[in-house]
Amino acid sequence: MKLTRLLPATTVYAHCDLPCGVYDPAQARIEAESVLKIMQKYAANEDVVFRTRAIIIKEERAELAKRHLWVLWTDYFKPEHLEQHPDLHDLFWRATKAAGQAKHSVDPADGQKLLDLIAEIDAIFQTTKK
Amino acid sequence: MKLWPLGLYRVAGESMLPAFRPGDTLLGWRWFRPRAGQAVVARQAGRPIIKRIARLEGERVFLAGDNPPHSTDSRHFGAVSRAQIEAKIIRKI
Repeated sequence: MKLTRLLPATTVYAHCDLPCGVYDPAQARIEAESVLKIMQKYAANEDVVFRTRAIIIKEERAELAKRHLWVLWTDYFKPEHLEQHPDLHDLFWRATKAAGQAKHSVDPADGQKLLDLIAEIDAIFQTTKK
Repeated sequence: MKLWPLGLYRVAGESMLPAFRPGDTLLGWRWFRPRAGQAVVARQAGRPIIKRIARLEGERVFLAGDNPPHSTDSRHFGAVSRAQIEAKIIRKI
């Protein structure tokens, strides 16, 4: 820890004051559905150019899925949700790992695993909306 | 004119990344004339904020964050007056 952090200082805000408050696991799910579809199309087409594009787009979509999961995890879910769902951190950890694995892989099973984990997160999300 | 020229500030939030990170301690200088490009502390809605001067139009000062997607600045609240500018940042300590 830097010693200067102990100095008394006026807090100056460098914030975004406009959190829109709109959160939905559907964002991550749609990206993950793209990932799975791309994996399936990749398997069904041996054209080199097509496959190259498929991999590039899959990489982007998996990254977006991961990004949307992070936003849900860090911005939407609150400590009280964790009390009710103690496995929440582990679930997000596994889901974002699965998004990473979906980049490495062209196996549709990996895409499906990501979708399944997002569905588990969605189920918890829906309980927090009641 | 403020009596004491130096101010010590601590950053909260990410709108000034990459120049200033949350938790950074900054030294400010209060005796100065605002110029475009300076990182400044301003009072906005009673709260001290840190932004960069995008441009000046007479008494009106337009502020912008270095990290626009994570910044609430003159795009949202409009220009501030020169009197709302409190200090310019002279260094990170």
